[in-house]
Amino acid sequence: MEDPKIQEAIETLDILHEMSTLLNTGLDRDTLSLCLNLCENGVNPEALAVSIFELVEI
Amino acid sequence: MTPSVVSDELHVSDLIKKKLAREHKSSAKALRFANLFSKLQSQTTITRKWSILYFLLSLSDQSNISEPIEQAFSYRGLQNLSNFRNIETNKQPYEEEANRFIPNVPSSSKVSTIKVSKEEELPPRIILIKQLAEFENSNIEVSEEMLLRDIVFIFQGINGQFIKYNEESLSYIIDPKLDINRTTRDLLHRLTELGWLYKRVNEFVSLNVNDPSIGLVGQAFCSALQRELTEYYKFIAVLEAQVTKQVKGQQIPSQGLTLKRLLVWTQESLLKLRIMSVLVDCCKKQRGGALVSTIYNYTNHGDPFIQQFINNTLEEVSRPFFEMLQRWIYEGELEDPFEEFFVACDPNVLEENLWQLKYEYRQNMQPTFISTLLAKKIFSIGKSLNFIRYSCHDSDWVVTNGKAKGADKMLKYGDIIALESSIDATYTATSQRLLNILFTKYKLEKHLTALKQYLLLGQGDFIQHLMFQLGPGLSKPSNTLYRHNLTGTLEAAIRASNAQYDDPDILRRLDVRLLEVSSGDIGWDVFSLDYHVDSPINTIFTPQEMQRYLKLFNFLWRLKRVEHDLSSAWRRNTTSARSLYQIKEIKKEVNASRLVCSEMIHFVYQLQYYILFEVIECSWDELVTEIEIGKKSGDLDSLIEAHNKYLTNVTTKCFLGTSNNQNYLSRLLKIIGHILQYKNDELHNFALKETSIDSYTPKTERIWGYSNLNKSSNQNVRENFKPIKERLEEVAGLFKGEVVNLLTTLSHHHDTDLRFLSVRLDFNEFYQEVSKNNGNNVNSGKRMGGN
Repeated sequence: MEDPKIQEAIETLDILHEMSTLLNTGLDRDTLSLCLNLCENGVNPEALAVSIFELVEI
Repeated sequence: MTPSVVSDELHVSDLIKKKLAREHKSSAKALRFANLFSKLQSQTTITRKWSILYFLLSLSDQSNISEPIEQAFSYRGLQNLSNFRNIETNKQPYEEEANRFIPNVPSSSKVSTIKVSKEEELPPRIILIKQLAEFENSNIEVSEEMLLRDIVFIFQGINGQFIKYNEESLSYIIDPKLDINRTTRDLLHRLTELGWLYKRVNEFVSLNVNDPSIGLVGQAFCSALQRELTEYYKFIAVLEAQVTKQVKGQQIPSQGLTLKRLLVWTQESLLKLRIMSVLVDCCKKQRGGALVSTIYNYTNHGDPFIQQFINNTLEEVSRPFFEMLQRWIYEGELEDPFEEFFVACDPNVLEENLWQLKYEYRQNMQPTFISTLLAKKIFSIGKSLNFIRYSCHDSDWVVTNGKAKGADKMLKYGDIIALESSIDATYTATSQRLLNILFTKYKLEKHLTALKQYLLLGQGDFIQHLMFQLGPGLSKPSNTLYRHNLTGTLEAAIRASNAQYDDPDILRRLDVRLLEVSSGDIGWDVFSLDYHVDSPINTIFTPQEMQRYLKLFNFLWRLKRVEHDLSSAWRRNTTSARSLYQIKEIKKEVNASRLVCSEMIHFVYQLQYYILFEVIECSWDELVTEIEIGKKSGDLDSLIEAHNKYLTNVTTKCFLGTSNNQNYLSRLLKIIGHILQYKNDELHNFALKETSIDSYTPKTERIWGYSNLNKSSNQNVRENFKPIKERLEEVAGLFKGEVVNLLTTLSHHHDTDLRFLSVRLDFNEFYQEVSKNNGNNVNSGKRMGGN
């Protein structure tokens, strides 16, 4: 039961990671996965982007 | 805060496509993105696709504005870190702040990650992001497999990804940034002990295994450790296979390896490695027998497992030791290139000192499971074998005996009783053989008897004859004596007495020796009999012992001489008694001098009796008994000891012992000197002269050479006689005083024999009265002599 789900999640993450590299976000896979989780839990994406950027600045 | 866009994924994707097309002036990237987007749309896991897309877009927008350089590098696939460093200078304060922040994050916070392996290489900012994320609970499971793999590496002494050996603290340190809970951390710590122990043991083994200086036993120890480590490697291999399987996901988790299981499984190895590490610790500086002893100390451990383990190790470690032992007790060969055996050999020692000096007992190399008694026996066996071979020239017996016995037996640790019994048997056989050779082939007993007969004056007729022959010659100054003349006299004495029937070999050894001459010595002082001993019996009759024999002879010879002199004086007195009676003037003095003479005779006779019967014969009897016992169960050492005891006994009781008895000896010699000084002759000669004058016989005139012109009256006689009388009285007084002194000290001596001697000398308490008078008047002795 679990396996296909995990498989799919990994696939999704792969796609998103590729997008992120295309867009030059500078995020690695792990961070991306965390952000994805946050977004899924209903965090405002714009706000998240701003805060991440600020953290990166530091 | 709400997003400023509609929550439509298609719209967002359009925005991104436009952006990409605008930035790169080609549609390639945009097309690729479109592809990816369509794929993403087919995924079901994400419910809010627009959100993440919008997030990516906004992030991309922002970074484009502020950090074009970094973007450019990043675009070409370069590490962000390098860019980061380029602009490090202006960001310094922030970075420091961030670094300070990281360690403060509690590592045990309940957050799990999918992957943390690359953490080290990540730029700090990303770590920070992660830390931030970690504060929010996520629900991804711990990967135990990674830790397991690490632990297996640690078991082999290799650093893992998260757990590394710290050279400074000499321990394994788990990466503090690692995100595991306290229980797991503790478990890991406990598991790393195994790796730590392994590292120590392995270090010792690899350091020493090819180093010849640690000796054979040390090498055996290393090999025993190596063997245990091989067992350990096998175990690790099994574990590793298991872990690899698990990482690949082929194992059902419920049956697979977990840290807890690992802990249980490694218990046995852990225990073994612990013991090994302890052994390594305490054996670092030890070698040879000492090392075996050290390991043996651990066999008293209460735990049967440990006991068993130590015993196994010990068996292996002690193997070279037992091989040496075997060679030593069966062949007498000392095969010990690294000085590990408890017998040491000094190759420089000459053959005649083989027994005493060549081999040395090394206490610190004696393994504790061999008792001191047994070790002494072992020591004696090898020595006896060598003695038989080199001194007694009977190597055939050694070889055949060694082959017969050593072939079928293999000594080893663990069978101490068998070891003891075989050593006992060998010991008895070897000692018997050695004593047998000494007593039959080398006639030890005969030599002992000869020494007693000749040097301790046991052979009366021979000594008498010698004294008679040598007497006149020895009174001359010592430098007029010649050895060849004396040797001739000795030969004559032998032929004239019963000694002629003795073994010619023994008579050949009998010789005359002149002690070192100092000016003023007369023959009596330097003459001495000598007895030649050669190898192998000189092991028993060592030069020191022979020196004691000579000392004894010297003393006895003096005594004999005094006795001889006194006897002749007595003879003279008795034969001339009648003629001397005629001289009325000196009748009283003559009588007194006879009394003194007989007093002296009594003293000397009693002393001689005491020495010959109470001392020499008694000690001899003891010696004979001990030799008889030794023949059955002793070895050469016991024989030497018995002989030594015999001689010590004799010398001490003859006042010739060490400093303690110097006093007695000097007193005795003084007494003897006084006796010799007591020229009874003078009085005698004087009296004879007087008689010859009275009777006018030409015969006496011829004999004594006095002219009869010197006729004198009675008055004259008394006057002439006066100095002689005074001298005699003085000497007699001195003699008596000395005897009294000697008796008082003797009566307080701790030795009963000596106390009896004092009783014997003073059997009628004559001297006690003298000593009482002595207390009143110092000169009473003189008066006594006069009376």
